[in-house]
Amino acid sequence: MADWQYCALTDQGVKRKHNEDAVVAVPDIALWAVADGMGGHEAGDVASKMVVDALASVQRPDNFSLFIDAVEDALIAVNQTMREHAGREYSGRMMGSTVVSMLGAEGYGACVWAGDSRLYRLRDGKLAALSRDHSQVQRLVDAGVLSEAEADAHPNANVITRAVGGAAALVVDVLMFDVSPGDRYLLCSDGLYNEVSKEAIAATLAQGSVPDSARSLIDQAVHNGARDNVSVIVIEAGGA
Amino acid sequence: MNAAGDKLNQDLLALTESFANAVIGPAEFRRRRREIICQWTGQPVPQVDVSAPSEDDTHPGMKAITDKDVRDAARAPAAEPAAVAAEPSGKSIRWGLWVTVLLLLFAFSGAGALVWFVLRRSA
Repeated sequence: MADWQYCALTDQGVKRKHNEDAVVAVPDIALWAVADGMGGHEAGDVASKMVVDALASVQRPDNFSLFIDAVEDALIAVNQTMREHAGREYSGRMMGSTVVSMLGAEGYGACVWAGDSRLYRLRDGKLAALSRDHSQVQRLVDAGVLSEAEADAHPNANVITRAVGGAAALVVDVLMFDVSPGDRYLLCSDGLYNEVSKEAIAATLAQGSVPDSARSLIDQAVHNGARDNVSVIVIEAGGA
Repeated sequence: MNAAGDKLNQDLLALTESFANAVIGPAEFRRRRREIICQWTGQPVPQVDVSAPSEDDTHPGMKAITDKDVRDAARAPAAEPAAVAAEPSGKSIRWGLWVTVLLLLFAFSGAGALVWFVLRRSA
């Protein structure tokens, strides 16, 4: 398996009373994920923790397609558990979590996600979003109704269309990508990209060690007001 | 990412959309997705027992989002996220309190007037 460096950090931010985000890193099987819980009154904390706990227990088969199946199975199982938990403990009130995960291998990787937490890749100084938000505004952008700039300022920018716990049956998206030595990957919750510009994210990812980049991203979000919880995982592919 | 990679990812997203809209079943979805992924990785497509109940007994049942929904969403006024909307608002609680107080005042003044009327007649 490829050699990876990573740093996973999460911060409550400035305005929120709880941290409803959670991060997980399982380097032995090259699996990393960020979950952003929702539901309030501790339900969000519980939801995101359920997601990362489920992913932390995934076993990696030799075949990469079966690895993706295993991650999806874990998320489908936690989707069911979460809905039962919400019915039992929170009188059926909405409880859910976004999830974005990166699965690594030698020369390639996969992103498995639901919701608006994102995976970015920095290669040759250029930042590209690999995942595509499951959100109302992204659908409007896809339909040509809104521009990317208008989407950022749209009042429904935080309304997501998929989440773990959001529907009786969970459907996740999967995307494959190639991995080159020196690539840097960023998994993050919306608390980061809503506070820090794409240009600043690219510049920060491009400089310093992996832990320094991760720390600096969190610091910038907090410096800019961090209205939401902020989570980042910076991963660098080895062999540069 | 090269053009072949882009095409594979478009196929993956389209396949997931078909599954989400219940056009194909879970077993077919997984089988075709494994084929696409193995095409990318160069690994052999794993032989999995498709008759296994875990892959055949569930459907997403997710409502398909149509172009009409997209247009309606564009026209809709700003909405709070579901998580927030699910909680009772403070304003509606205050209105309920006011109505209750007014009804109680009305009931008490009615009862007082009745007592006064009865006592006046009997005096």
